[in-house]
Amino acid sequence: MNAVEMVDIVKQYPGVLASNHVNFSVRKGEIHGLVGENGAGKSTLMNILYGMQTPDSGEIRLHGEKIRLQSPKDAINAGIGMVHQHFMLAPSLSVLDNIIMGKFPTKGGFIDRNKARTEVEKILKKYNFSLELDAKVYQLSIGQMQRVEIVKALYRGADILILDEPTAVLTPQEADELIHTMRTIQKDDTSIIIITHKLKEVMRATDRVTVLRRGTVTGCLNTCDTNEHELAELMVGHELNMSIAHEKKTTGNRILQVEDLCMLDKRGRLAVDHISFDVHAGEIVGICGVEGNGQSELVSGLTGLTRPVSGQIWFEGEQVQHRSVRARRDLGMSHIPEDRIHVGAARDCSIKENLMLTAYYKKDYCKHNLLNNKALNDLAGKLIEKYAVKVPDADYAIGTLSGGNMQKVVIAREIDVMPRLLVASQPTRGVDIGAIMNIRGQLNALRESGVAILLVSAELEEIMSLSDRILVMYEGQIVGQFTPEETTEQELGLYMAGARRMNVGGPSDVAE
Amino acid sequence: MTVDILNNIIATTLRNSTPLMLAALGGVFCQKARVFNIGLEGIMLIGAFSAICGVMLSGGSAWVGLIFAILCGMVFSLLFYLFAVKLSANQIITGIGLNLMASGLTAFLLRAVFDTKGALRATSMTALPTLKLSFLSKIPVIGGLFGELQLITIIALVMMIVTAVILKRMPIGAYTVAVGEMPDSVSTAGIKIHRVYLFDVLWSGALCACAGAYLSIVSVSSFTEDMVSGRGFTAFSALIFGNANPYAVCACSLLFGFVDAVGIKLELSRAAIPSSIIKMFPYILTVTALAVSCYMRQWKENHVSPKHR
Repeated sequence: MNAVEMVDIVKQYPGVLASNHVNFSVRKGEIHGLVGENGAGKSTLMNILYGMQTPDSGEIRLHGEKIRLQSPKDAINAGIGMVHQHFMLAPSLSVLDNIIMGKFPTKGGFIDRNKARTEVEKILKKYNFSLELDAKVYQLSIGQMQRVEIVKALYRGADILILDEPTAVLTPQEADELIHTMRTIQKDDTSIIIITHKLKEVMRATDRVTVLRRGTVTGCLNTCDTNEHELAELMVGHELNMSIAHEKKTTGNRILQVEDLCMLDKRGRLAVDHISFDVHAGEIVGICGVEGNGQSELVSGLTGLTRPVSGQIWFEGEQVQHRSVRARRDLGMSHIPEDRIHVGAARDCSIKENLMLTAYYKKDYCKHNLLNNKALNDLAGKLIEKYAVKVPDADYAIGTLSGGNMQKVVIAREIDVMPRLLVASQPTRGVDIGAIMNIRGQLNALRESGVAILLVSAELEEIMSLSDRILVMYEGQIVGQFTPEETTEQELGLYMAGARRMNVGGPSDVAE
Repeated sequence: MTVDILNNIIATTLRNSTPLMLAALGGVFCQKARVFNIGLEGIMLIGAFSAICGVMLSGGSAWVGLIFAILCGMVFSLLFYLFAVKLSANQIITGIGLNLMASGLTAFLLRAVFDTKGALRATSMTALPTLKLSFLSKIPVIGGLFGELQLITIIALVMMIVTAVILKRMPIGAYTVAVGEMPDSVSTAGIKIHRVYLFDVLWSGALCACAGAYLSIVSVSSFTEDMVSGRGFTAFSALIFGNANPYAVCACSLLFGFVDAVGIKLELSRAAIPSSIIKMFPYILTVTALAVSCYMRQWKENHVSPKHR
């Protein structure tokens, strides 16, 4: 029997048909993958199932019985649990309090923590999880927080578990552990739905998979009968070239050299700890690591957003660590920031204004402190056309664009100036597969034309397929250096988790 | 002689601190829920006014005054809930608006209902009982201090414990903390977060009104226009300085009350310090206190790092 059956679901948002007569079913005790590009309607469908949104029409049946879900409370009572991508945990409360949040056992109006503890411990024992119930949530690692979320759902008696992009924030080892966890829970006849865009994981972890594209179901398949390629095609609707021709070639001059660089984070702790490396023309150096290990601080140091505490940055033989952002840009440095909404773009400004951000002061566009609007309009028009940004009008606020289109605007602005060095930080985060392939292609083309690229990414697959050299960062240091041919994602994962390290020296000779 | 001065200062401290403590405790839940309720001042003023109204209407019962004040304070705080929470208006602007409104409203009602201007005296009033702790008053030196305590001072101290217990041991306390840090953690658990905010705001209404009533029916037995004169903001400083921890908040209130008491003493002793400077003491302390607490918090954040990171 099907645990979940969503029949003919329709949900209309202003301007978008988010669910177009969707049928979706999950069998009892199966792990079901729900895949699709951003905006395909995965989240809408799951929000409907979790009672956060009500469908315009269609019905939901749980274990064969029709049910109306008006709020998360209804869903929880019906045995549905959801682990959100961003954890719904209060950092300063204990693990125990977070697990029992919303369902506190009480005695005379007071929380009965002893009773709660025995109940939670029963669950932990049953699935063989380990969690320190008295620890505060802020002390936990990301993987542990996720486990708290799962236990929280189980404590509420969930027999249908929805996991939203569960592996996005995990190291490969933690992801393996999660898959193991899901298998354990599954044995108990619990159904699990995972929303994801990582096809590799779908293939490894699921029993069946449903593909969504633009609000409609384009396929529902047994995982063992399909492959990544087929799924990708169903997701984007046309054949997709997943591999990037990556020819080995000789690299040019040294463009960027970093020596003994130390950076502090916002709280004044050492985030980048004596790092040395270099990037040559025509090569992509990939930096991978679990988020929060100093990559962001390194990037803001290189691009001039924050000043290093010590160390040197050489750009084509010139010391730039004390130069301003604009001075560095004028030398030929470009930057695709990781946070495109707050750093990469000015959300309430128009697309045109965002495109001119790095050029408006230049002679061609500005005379006597007055902007040359005609030249700027031409510039915006040219970039929009050249980089195929889908916009109705360059005067629209950039915040109205989808993630992928917004990123196209940022990338167009950054690479059209033909930089000598491009610092690309999480360039494909949160954009859909089509756009990902497009962006990766552009980076590769830049490399071919002799640009030095520093690529910082949390996606190991991206690092592996694009980089000529890979550096692994852990706790502010470079703990491993590889070429993609001589390593595997698993090995990188061990270095990212700090389980292994090699002695990595900086560039062998000093800058001239 | 010195014992007398000491007694006097401590008694004044307690008198000054009681309304600060109550108002600051009232703000604890709002602050924990990250609702920036600077309307404490206005609610206190409403409380002070309605307490006297209650006394007049009932023909002199301070009890009725106190209860009427609490009711009015809660109703007034509902406005804050309506605008700042329900309609998500800017909390600071709403708070300022309510403070100004309280000032105008009480002055207007004073004229419209009681046909007076500036001040309203309760003609006859049976005061709230004081507590004589005979076993304490027998102790030499400090006996005089705690020998006689105002009922509302006791209430304030009890509320300190009640607040702490609710915060740590009751579901609404946990919800409040969680709502402040991650509102979605509560809403996805199937709890309506607006109800949590409602409790927090009403709590501030009740306690701040109680603080206001203390000013008008215990300290003196009259209402004067704008008689709260910044105490709500001082209480708010104590709340921030004490990091919304009920015990710390009360300790800060006592500290502010003490500085005020010393100031009054100095003024009376005709020391060579101009009284206007002495009057600045509590506020200088407030600013210093805030600066220090911010600095300490930063220091703490830098030095207490999560285990795995």
